[in-house]
Amino acid sequence: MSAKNFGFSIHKDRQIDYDKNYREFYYRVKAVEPSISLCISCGNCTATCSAGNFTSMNLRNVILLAARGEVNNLGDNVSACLLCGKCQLGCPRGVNTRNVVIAIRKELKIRRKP
Amino acid sequence: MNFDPFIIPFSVGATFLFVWLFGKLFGWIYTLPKRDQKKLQRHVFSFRILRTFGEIVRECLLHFRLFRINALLGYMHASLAAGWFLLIIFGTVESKVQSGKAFNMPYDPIFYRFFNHAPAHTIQLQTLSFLMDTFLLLVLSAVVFAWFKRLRSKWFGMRRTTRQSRVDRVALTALWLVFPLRFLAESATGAIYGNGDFFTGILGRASESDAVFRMIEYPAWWAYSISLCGFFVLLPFSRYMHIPAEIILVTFRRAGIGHLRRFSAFADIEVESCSRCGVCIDTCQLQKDVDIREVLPVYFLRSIRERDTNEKGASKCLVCGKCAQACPVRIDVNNQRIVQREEFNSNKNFQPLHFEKAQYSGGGKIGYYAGCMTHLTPSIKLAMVKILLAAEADFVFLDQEGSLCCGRPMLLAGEFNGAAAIAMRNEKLIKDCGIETLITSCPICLKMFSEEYQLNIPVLHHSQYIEQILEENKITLNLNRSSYTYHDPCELGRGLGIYDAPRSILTKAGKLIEPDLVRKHAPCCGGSIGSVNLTHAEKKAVTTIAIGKYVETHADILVVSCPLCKKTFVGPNKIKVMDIAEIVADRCEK
Ligand code: SF4
Ligand code: SF4
Ligand code: SF4
Ligand code: SF4
Repeated sequence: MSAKNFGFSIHKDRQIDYDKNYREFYYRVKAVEPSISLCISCGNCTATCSAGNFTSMNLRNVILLAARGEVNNLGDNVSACLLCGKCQLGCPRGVNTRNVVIAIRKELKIRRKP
Repeated sequence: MNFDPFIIPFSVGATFLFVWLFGKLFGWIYTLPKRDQKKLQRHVFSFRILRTFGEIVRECLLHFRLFRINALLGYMHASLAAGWFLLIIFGTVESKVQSGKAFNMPYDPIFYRFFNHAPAHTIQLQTLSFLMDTFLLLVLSAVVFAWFKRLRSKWFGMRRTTRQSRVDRVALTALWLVFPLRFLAESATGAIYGNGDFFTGILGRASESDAVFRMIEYPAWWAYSISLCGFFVLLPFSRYMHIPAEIILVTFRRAGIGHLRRFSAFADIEVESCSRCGVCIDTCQLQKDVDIREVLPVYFLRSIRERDTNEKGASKCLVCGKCAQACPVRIDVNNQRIVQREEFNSNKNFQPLHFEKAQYSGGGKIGYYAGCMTHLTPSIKLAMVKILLAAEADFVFLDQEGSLCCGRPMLLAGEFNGAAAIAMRNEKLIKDCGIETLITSCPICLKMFSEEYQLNIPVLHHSQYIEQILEENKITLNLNRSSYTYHDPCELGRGLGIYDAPRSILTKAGKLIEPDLVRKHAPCCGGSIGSVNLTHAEKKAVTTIAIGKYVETHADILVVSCPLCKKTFVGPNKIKVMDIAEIVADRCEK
């Protein structure tokens, strides 16, 4: 049975459920690179990003999702990062963005190993 | 055959050392890639080996580079190394001449005076005996200097000296004891039998009775032998391993062997060649400005050698190369660093996902590649376009629509696979544009292009290109009264040796005032992409101190030739910061 077209659609539930999310992930990354907590989601990093020119890499989003503990889709994005460091120059808050990416990669790898 | 039980400690120690060293050498050669083994073989059996010997004598014995750093420091090392070496050579000759045999026991020269009581009777033996005393005096003077250096390191050109590890201190004590004990033992024997020369005879001539000497003679020879044994046994585990390792290093390097993209035999030899002299300590801005000592090559290399994880030392470093240019052993610390980073690397499987989308525009003889950092400092690329138009060059702006990274930042982070993948893609993109010369504004890209890419066309930094068109009179500069001071970017200066092009442009544009530290001694701006996790505050401290030196020159403008340096330096400073391309663009006339 095909769904009826009502002329609008409903997004999937985007409730941020801290009980289910992997919040510890964020704290572990923060232990390695404390400056992650300075991020104000301004998006400068994403605007300058070389990888973002060609892929869906979006550091603002990565940091936001990591902070919420929604880590399931981070992998593809952070592995596209070229570590070029442009984001770091653009960041008004002095976030050590390259090392944030490196730390997230490391954490993801640890998590994947059961 | 001469024999006495006290030769046993010496013989045991020396045998152990020889076996150990040959084992090491064999291991190193065995683990070399086939290609490098061939190179080594070809080198050893060619006339080029003579030049290698020359360098070994100059650097391992006479320590020319240390002399250039500080005369006292050079004298201390040279007199110890060369003096000891000569003692061994002439001691061997002396013992053979005396016995009249070509073969004698290896320990004969070491304990010669004990076994040969007769004073030198022929002119040859007298000369040899005189020489031996001279060399002993030379070595002892080195030991005295070494003691003195502990108290007054500044006289030796060093503000801070190495904090030695425990095994180093024990080995050092053994070494410091060897020669005073030898002097004591030879003097005692000399006093009793009258066979001391001008130096080892002093004690005998000074006192009437030889009762005391009879008492100390035998124990002194024992102590001498034991201290030698102690030194030999500790040598492979202490900094003194640098003595044999440096000889191997010089040979390997001259044979054309270098670093691999992993911890290789060559890297191991380099690590063991560090004498922990501490010359690198004073050069490091992280040590001076923010007190991070783990990065200092002397400790960093030690942690590699002791298989200690020193993640901080590996990752905080700016890879500015200041320490490496100072190192008298010429250890390639930058490569050591990134090879270690590979060990902490987390993304060995990097695949540039959708980078096929990247496109560069072709259609010109000269390709201008701004590089991603230059896109963040747009005034530089605009200036370059203006200059290229003024010179009526047949050019194309390759990465006008944004560039793929050159790959060097990733290489510096120790992610070799990723870096190679990016480089391959970028190289193809550039080649497909069909240009004949490549100009870039970014020294980081330039370094990568010239060392890791096979572009087969001339690759220039924009300062080199500008110098060229100025000489060809394609553009001229209208002089004005501005005064400039110039900052050498790490990658352009120490990295690629380009010091003169920017200076020649600036002297044409106005007055150039040089700060204290220039060229290979120039500071890092602090913004280096080489550091993985230096914090914002730490970078800021390094930058502030670095720019302070330029402010002191009272020049109107601080000129840089790197977008990253510019981006790092601009801010609320007492001096205006501009890239060299901007200076030229402002003043250029056709
Ligand atoms: S370092 Fe990574 S996230 Fe930052 S700009 Fe470069 S590619 Fe983007
Ligand atoms: S630029 Fe800095 S503060 Fe802004 S989103 Fe990126 S990391 Fe956060
Ligand atoms: S790295 Fe070079 S300068 Fe530094 S302690 Fe070792 S040998 Fe000396
Ligand atoms: S490369 Fe630079 S920052 Fe790193 S240890 Fe050497 S001098 Fe210090």
